[in-house]
Amino acid sequence: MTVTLLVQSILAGLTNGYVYGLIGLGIAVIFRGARIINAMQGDFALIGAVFAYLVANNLGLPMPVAVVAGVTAGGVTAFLVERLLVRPTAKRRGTDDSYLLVTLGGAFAVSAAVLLYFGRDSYVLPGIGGNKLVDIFDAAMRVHAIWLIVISTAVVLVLRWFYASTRLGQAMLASSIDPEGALTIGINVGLMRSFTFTLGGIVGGLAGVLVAPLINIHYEMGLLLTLKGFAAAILGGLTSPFGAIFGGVLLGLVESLAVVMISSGYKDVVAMSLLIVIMIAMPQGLFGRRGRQGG
Amino acid sequence: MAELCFTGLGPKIELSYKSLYHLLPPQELNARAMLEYVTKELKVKKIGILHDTGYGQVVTNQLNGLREKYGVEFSGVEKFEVGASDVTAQAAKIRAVNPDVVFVIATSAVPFRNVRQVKIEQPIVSAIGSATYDYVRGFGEYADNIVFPEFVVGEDPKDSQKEFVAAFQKEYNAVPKNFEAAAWDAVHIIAKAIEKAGPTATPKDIAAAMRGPQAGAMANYDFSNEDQTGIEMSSYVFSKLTKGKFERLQFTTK
Amino acid sequence: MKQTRAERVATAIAALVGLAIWAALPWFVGRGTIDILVFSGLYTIAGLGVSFLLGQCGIVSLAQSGFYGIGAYATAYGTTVLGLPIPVCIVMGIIFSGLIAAAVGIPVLRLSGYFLALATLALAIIAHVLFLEVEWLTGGTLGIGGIPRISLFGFVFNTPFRFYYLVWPCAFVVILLCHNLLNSRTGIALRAMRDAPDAAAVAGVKIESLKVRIFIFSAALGAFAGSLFAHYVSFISVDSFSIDRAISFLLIAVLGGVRSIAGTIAGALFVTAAPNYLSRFGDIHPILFAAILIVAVIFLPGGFGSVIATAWRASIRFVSRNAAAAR
Repeated sequence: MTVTLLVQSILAGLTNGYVYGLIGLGIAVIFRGARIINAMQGDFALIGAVFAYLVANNLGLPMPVAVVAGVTAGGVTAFLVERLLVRPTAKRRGTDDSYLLVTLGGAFAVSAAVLLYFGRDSYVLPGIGGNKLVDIFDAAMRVHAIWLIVISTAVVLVLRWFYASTRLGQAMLASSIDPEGALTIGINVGLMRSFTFTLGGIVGGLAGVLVAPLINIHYEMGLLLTLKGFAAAILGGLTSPFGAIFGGVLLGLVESLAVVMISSGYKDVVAMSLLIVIMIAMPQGLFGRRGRQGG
Repeated sequence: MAELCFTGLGPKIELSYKSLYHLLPPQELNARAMLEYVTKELKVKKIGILHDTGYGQVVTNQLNGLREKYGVEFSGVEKFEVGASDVTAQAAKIRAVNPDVVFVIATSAVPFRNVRQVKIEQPIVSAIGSATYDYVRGFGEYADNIVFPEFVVGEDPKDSQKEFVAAFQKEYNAVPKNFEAAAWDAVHIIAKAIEKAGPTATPKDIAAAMRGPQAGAMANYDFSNEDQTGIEMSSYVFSKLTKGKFERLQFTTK
Repeated sequence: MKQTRAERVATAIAALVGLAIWAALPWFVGRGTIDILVFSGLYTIAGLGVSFLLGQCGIVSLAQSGFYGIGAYATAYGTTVLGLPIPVCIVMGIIFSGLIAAAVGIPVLRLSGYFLALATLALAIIAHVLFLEVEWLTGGTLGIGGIPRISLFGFVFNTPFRFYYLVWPCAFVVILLCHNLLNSRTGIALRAMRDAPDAAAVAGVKIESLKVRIFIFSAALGAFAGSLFAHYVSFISVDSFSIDRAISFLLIAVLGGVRSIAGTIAGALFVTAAPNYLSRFGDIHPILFAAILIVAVIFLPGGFGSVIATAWRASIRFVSRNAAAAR
């Protein structure tokens, strides 16, 4: 094992890890605010990426505009999902599984719609700094990947500030921790839940726009990302955005190192086994609060 | 009733069918074509293989079976799952063994991009499944220095293919490749068989009418052959993808 | 709860009528429909395992595709390579499944909630990779072909029509097993564990071991379904045991309503038949399926089972009112 190979695998693991973590971050935001597992998070990212692609390619507008379009599309979609899927389920007293299944249905719908419109091909979104690579010990890392890491970290910090220091953030947390108590002090719990979903959608759309240059847009991208993001979020304790990123990076690194040190065929076996071991050994996840047992 | 399929020979159970005709070569032939090119033209000894667990695995199994015959060494063989979004780690492992050439056998563009991104400079040889313009678009700026053993290079067709290529270009204003040619051949073979068998023919008669040598645009078939395809090595042409364009190479196989 | 006389009579009549319809159905529909009905039967068996686990223990399990695969590969390998008789291989598959369920269940079932769900998903992924990698056993990408058909006293179940009359009796037996389990002492312990876990523990119910036992039961059902599947299609490969299959099984359980056996049958019918019938609408059919799924989840929080139960109760009331009026 050369230094180059080790460094390359760590860089790849880090990059993929932040990809998973960004999706996990969205799942954590929505769970924190609404106590709902959103099976559509990866598809919010897919929608963000698709809209950015359409705006950049079909309308020919510059990339920054496309990025804003993608992020907005994610937020709008999430808002609609909350109104059309989540609210009716809540009104009819759905169980936890109902929310999971209804968002799963939404994920299938988005995936099918992208398949219908785009077909089975994959599409490329240009990244920040194009395809430029950075050389580290003769291993390569895309400039865009570095930006991905920087922006993800910024998002985590912004969220932390938002929940801790703004009235809106505090209201959103309150409605999720104790809906009845929040109602009595005048917080519009329903509205807070809509905001939570919208915030999750914005994070998702941003994730899509940042992730697409690395992994290509294609119709199956949504569910695959959701699975990985789910693992990342759970490892991180399900309610902590920072934990989700950390969980994602852990997962990404384990995958990469498993390929390089053990074998590429058994990568998922190693990663998934480690996931199970970590969950059994640390019931709160890596950054969750005590008393939570995996939700 | 005859069934024409657009895949190479698959699970052994297919051999028990009498009228199952394949318009694409078995993976063993594809593997042989790849090895012919790298041993006879590039004269290599060490090969790295990056393949997916579906189509890539099937071809790689055949490559493993032919390894000794061609006297080459597979110094690195790495695999990834079919929908994988990133295979940088696997590509880096291939780079570390420093092969003379890299086989990339997959149904997505991802491995091709990752291979170049980890700075593998060696030539890439792939399989017919990736030789389409959709893949070229997916490769982006990495659509360069990739060799395909295939059958139709629309920009420079063989004499037997010129009629098809001209007709396709006139109708669709685009350049055809292997799968389009296979479709053309399939329809023509069916039409010829119906003509030969006559207006009162049963499906069995039509199937029998097809069961023999057939000359096509993509390749020459012989459905009475035991691999249900009958494509010969001599039907292969080798193309090199250079800056997003396919060029027909001089190299041929017998 | 003791049934009233009206309920017992109604149940008996419904059972007879249902049985008659079931037996007659294949004579009136095409081969394609019968194939769907066979798969509904297979998926009912597997789905009941997931449904039991979810309804009685509150455990969301995505691991059923793995046990389905173990049953299928065990019988495929046993019959094609080892040359063992089919019943032996099916039992072998069930035993292997049970052993593996016990081995992974004991550590994993200590988790709860979303952790547990993720752990079962991880198990399904591990199983899928192993089915691909352990080539000497599973044939890898190329799978195992030439799996022999089941035959009973010389009658070979080699067409959908014939297999229909094999798979559904098996499903009925499984349904009977589930029903008896629910009404046994174990069933009472399960209900206690689900509704009042602390009280149950105080009363001496060993919760951990109960969960593991139900997990083993669920795995056994999955393996049984997988073995039947292998002998129905005679060629199996890795693609049948993917995460999509795991999600399908979970869908069947939740859509059907986890406390309802009849609902699970309806769920299995829906999951196998709906994509097929929707495909005649062309390329938008996956979107239609997703839309129907969403509507079903929103408007039927108790699943199909709750609809069936409501309709059943209403019809009994109708019948007993009229019977009383007639007297």
